[in-house]
Amino acid sequence: MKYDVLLYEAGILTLIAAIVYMGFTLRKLTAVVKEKKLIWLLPMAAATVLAISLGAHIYANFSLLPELSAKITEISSPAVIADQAKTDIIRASIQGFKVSLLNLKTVSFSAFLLASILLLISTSVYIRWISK
Amino acid sequence: MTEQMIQAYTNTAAILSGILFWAGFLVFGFIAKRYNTVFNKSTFHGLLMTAPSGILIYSMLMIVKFTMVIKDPAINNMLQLTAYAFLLVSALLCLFGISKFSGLLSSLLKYEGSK
Repeated sequence: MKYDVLLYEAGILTLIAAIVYMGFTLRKLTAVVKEKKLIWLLPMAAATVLAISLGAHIYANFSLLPELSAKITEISSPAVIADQAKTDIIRASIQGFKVSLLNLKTVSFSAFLLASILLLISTSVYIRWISK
Repeated sequence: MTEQMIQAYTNTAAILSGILFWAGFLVFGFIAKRYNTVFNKSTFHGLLMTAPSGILIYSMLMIVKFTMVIKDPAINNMLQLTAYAFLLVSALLCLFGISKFSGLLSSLLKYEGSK
């Protein structure tokens, strides 16, 4: 069991819940200042993007990584070492997994960054309204 | 893009996101502070402003992990685990603070509606 992965995912899941709650709170706050703008939707969008990031992280850790480990174990078995054609096929497959993992990591952290930007914009816009 | 460039990009994105999340929650804490002054009621702004610190600590620990050349994988793992623990605790405190502030706003809006 990968405890660090579970801890990270629990953290992100809680962060998503906090951001959704913040979105609903911002909706109440816009009602207080009688603004009709939909800035409360920005935290909701941030939570959605963060959920995509979490999904990519879960898929990489619980689907792709175990498959990659299985392929690495397979390539080091005596039966595969003796067969050059099989070795080449598995090696190509491992390379494919590595590329997929790297792409998922890029998507996941880009989504994480986008979510943080959306959240900061929403709270900054609101504080500017009430600072006028 | 080479593998090294992608690694550098994802590391930077992880750190920058942590800092921006911290700033976003901190600004929300400032909003709660303004309402504390306006309504003269506790809006839990102190909690809302300190709770995101864990997200900042997460970013700092990640900077240490990515920039320092720590050869011992056990120390690296411990650093990562600590960073994730701070992220979780901070997110929980933010959730708690926001729910308290939201509850107060609901009662204020209800009071205004009944007037």
